[in-house]
Amino acid sequence: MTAIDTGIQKSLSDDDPQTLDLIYDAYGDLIFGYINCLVCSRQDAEDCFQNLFIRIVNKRHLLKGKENLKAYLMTMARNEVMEFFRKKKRSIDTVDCDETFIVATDDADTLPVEELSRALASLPLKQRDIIFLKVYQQMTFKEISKHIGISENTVASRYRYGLKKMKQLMLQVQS
Amino acid sequence: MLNGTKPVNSNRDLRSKVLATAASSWNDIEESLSNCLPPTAPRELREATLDRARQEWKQPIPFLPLRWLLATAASLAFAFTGAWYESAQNQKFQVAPNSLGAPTSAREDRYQDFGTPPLLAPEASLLVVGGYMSTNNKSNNTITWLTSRNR
Repeated sequence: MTAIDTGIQKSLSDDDPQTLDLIYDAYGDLIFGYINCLVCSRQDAEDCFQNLFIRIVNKRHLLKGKENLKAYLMTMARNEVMEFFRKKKRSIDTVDCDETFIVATDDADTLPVEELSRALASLPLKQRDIIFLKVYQQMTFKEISKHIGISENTVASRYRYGLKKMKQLMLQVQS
Repeated sequence: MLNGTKPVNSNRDLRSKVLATAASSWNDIEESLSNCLPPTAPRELREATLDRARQEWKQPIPFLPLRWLLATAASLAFAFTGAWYESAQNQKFQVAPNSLGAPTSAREDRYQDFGTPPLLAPEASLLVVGGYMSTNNKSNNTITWLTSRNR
């Protein structure tokens, strides 16, 4: 357990509302990026993000003693997004992404970020989800398979198909 | 070629070359992606989110969620009234002569022995459950989800 998680757990056991600040500061950006990648809309991501924090408050007793708080919060975020799709009666495969959800780091100005973002956005949610977790969360296939609840081989193949499709799209753009 | 190993080897070579090319292209994409970052949460969202969550924090968490209590009570009511209704029906057929001693239709017997019908008790408790579920957002969503075609 990391030092941050230890602090959050202590705050949770004291039932201190300050826990929310700690969670936000430690994992807020990470979770927001993930939600934004899944729902493909800044506005919807903000709604989901706020709802997630309400859910965290209501389920805070379940967070107590969790070894891997980050993974637990990520799963909660994913569930929140699925709930959001159910509420909106939207199928997860028909999401139109019209926003860029990655930005270049300062030392990578030369990258075709817009094209990359568009290529990532064009992937089905199942592949996009896995690519995001693998690249930006540095999760292993095993961890992702636990997180999503599918086999490790399926995760690996979705990841490869996703990258392959992105590559094709990038080549199309270049040509 | 003569012993047949060469085609196998060349196939292997080709396969490994193709795989290596594919892997390198995936690596390119992977590398490019890892040089980017997902967007961070906007600053104004922090206070809005935390304020809302803090308000929620002040609400006491019930020992058992109310919806579970209601659902349990409704289920028990359903079970008991159903059993009572069944036993009443059985009893009716055992002692149901009319004033002339002749057997009557089941419907008449029911009115003679019990006055009005027992208010369709099982159905009434189903209504309670249905009413509860329609007021409960989560259950309502569950129903929507169960009945939606695109789940």
